Amino acid sequence: MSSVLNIGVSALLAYQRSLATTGHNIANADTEGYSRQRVDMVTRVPQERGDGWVGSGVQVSQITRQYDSFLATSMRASISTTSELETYYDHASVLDSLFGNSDTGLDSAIQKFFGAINTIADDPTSIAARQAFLAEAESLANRFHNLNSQINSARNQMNNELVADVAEINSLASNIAAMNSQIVTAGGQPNDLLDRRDQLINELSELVSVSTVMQSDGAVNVFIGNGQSLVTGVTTSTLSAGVVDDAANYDIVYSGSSGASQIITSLMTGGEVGGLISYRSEILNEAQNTLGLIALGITDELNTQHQRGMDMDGNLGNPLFTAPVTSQGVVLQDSSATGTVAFAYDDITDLTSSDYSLIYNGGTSYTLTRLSDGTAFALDTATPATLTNDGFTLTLGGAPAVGETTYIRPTRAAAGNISVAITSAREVAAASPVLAEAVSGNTGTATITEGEVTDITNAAFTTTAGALTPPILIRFTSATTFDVINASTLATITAGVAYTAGNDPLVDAGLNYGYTLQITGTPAAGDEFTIGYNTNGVGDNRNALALAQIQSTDVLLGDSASALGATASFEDVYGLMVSDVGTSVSLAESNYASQSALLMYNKSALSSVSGVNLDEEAANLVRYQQAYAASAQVIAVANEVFDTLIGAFR
Amino acid sequence: MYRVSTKFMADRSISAMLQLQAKMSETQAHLDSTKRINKPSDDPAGSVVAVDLKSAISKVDRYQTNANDATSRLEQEESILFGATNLLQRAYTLAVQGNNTGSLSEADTQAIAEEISLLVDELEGLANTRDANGEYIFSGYKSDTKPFTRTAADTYTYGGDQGQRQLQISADRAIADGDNGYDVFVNVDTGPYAEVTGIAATAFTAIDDGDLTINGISVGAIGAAASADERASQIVDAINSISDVTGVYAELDSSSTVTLSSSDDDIVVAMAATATTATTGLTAGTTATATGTRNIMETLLQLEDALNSHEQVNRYINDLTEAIGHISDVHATVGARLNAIEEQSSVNADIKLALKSHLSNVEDLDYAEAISRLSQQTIALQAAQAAYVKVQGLSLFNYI
Repeated sequence: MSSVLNIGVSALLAYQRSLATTGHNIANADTEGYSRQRVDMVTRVPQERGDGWVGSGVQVSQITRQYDSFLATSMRASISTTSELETYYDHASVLDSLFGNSDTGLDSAIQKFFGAINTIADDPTSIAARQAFLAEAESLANRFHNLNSQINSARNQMNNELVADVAEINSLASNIAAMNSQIVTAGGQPNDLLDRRDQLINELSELVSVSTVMQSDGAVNVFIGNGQSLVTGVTTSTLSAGVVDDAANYDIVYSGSSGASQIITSLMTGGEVGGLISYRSEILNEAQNTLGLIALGITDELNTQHQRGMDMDGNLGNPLFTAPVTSQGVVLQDSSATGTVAFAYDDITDLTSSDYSLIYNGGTSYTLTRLSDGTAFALDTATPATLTNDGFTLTLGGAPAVGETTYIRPTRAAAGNISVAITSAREVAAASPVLAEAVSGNTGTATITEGEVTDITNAAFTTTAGALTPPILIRFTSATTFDVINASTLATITAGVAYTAGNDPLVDAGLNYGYTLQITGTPAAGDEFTIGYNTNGVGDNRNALALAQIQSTDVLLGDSASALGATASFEDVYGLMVSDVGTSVSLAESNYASQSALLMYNKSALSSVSGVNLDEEAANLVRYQQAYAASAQVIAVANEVFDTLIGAFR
Repeated sequence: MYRVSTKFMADRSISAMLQLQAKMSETQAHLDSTKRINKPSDDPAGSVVAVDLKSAISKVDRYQTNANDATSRLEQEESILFGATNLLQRAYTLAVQGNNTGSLSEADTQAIAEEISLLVDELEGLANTRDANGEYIFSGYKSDTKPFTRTAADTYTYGGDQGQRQLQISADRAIADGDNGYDVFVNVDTGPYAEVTGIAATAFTAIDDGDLTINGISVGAIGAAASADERASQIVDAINSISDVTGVYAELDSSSTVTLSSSDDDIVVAMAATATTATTGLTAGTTATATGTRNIMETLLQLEDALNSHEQVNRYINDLTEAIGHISDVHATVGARLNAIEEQSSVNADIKLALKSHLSNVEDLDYAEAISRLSQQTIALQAAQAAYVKVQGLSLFNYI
């Protein structure tokens, strides 16, 4: 009799527990990271009677959470990748629209700048055209500054985000450690605690890629990077973000429990942190370096040509933009470095947009590595030595320690430093300082070209301002020979030079005055040509035309090792960068879309195992309620049977 | 059996609706801007092509501006050259008229000289023309310097230089937007001209017919004279009487010396027997004609001078013919340049059209496609919303 009662009571208790668990499931239907729980029931131990084994009811064996650690791990990997791509895409698309928009991009400013030069070429005496050109030059410099400062503020913002992310990583790590401690103390399967710990690890993997190892006591160890342990049981290591070598770019430093610290910036993959780091190295640096390269190219090419010209007051042209300072080629050294590296530009045409590292190998050997493609250049010579490569020169000195590394960024800062050097519209050098002319009364048909400056530093220009030294008179002594004469002293410089139509007469005479010109046609004896300073030549536009021509000329991305020379114009280089950024963004966008789909699939797979379905719970509720009622009925029947028995003896 | 968690079902529906809304907003942005490429990542390769095309279009626009500038300057030069040609033709007519020293009195030729002097001033004015910017158009590069200044000695100094400004009218074609004064007015060929000046005769005996010949033609018999002055005028008359045949004109250089000039053939003086240097003041021999170059305005001044002196002006008639020819040549090169610009302009217009249509293909939105995409997305979003509401309404709890 008591067995029926006992059986009824055991069922009542078991279904009560089931109803409570169903209620718990319903209550947490919307809790992030919650895994539904199920009550596992088993029959109680049967009792042996003479006639066989009699059942003794039901009991709850355990309450389990429905969970699949394989699915959870692959979802965690998906979370990291998706979050990395999302961060990368969100940041990169800002630059994408910045560079691509014609109001903020560089291409429209370059076009307007060269358009203004062309307006001067059309009308060199117009002060208005010259002023407009100066204004366009200013706005080109401003455009460089704007883009550069956008990149710099993106860097600052990134640094702040890294600090915030690292703080969150540390806080999550200590929470996980705290959970470990609770779980170990609790023992068994503390379902809700396990769920909360898994949820913390999921949140951590949104920030950075992690791997986990379960311990036998129920604790979980968490690793980041290439195996740096973040949580070991109940102890944690800390990360910090801040300046190590480079004030503009924060690094992430790992401080292990043993106290040793390690820079792990480049090891951070996945999650927001991984996205930020790869955005910085793949897009920000490349974009800023390329901008700098274009700024250096414009400064160098336009200055060179502008200095070959003559301004409205008859003076030789000044540099149009301030010269790039060599300290722009930022040389980063560890504060403890004992070697010295001095940087100078060599040939801007050969510069690349890459960064470089220089490692001292001991003895007289250094290795310079171009970081964009990993090409290494070995240098083996006595110190102090100079190393010229890819358009820049390094002068090495000091007593470096073996393995000492120096980072070189030839173009990084240039876009922020470009500025217009001339202020007066009259200073724009639209004219050329040389003018060759036929002397009136020549009887032959020979003509002379006007002359083109090739080297403004030649003594012919530098000796006396506003004059050629010496001024030249070319006098034909016959139809086939000529003398080169100093036009002011009438002293013969070179006599009896053989005439070849189409040649440069000064080259034929073995002279170099820093300009070239040609005589063509048939001269007669006594014909004379003069070459002098282009005094009062305010209507001359030759130098403006030469300046304008630079727009369509390939002046950048040459290779010192190849004979091809420069391969790209300013606009080409800019276009390449815009396309690179665009491609990265578009790739990140499509990868993000596919990773989101994968994440959705993983979530769906996991939630299929762990998620709460309210309909199922409703059905369970009805089921357990009925079972509970039935169990109660069993107790009632036991009671009745007992009453019947008592009544029989009354 | 595949279970679906209630929360996941809701999450997924919401995420699907958010994604659809993001796509719609993207499509809407394209429709608003009418561009297929709003940012480089929309089509990285296409965006580079678009940047290149825009740059190419701005260059063609620039070439066209240059071409228009050059056209207006060349047209101004053309009208000046037209005026100069008319003016020189008038001077030519006057010179031919004034050359008739036989029938015109000194007063008549001086009146003609007066008109020539006005023409000189007018031509000087044309040669010193400034353009709309106040630049001298015939000064070469020294466009702030007045090109032609008349000196006290009735010559002209050229203050300009031989520079000729080029404007770029296509990627590889530059064209001069003018000519300098040296090429137009200074370096002008003169006609062939020979001149011989004799000395005073010292013997005055008669000269027989056939003894003195000019270019092989006898000047005829000359009677005895009393003085060097008389002999000189006899020689002048005799030589001028056959000028029509010989082309050689004689003039008194001073009262006793004779100057022979020819603007046609060489001058060949031959003497025999009674004709000697002592009796004629001439020297036997051949003087070849030569050509040179002279400023057109100086030619006109010299013509004026000759007319004022009632001298024959054959050589200046030749010089004016040369000058008119020279200006016409310059005019022709200006015309040729204008034609070249016009032809290049139409090429530029074609290139620009081609570039623009290429640009439009690259970056402009395909409206039909975009609008149908938008309506598809709208339908999809409506469906997702309806499905969400339907599915969320289903719950077993509604029945217990």
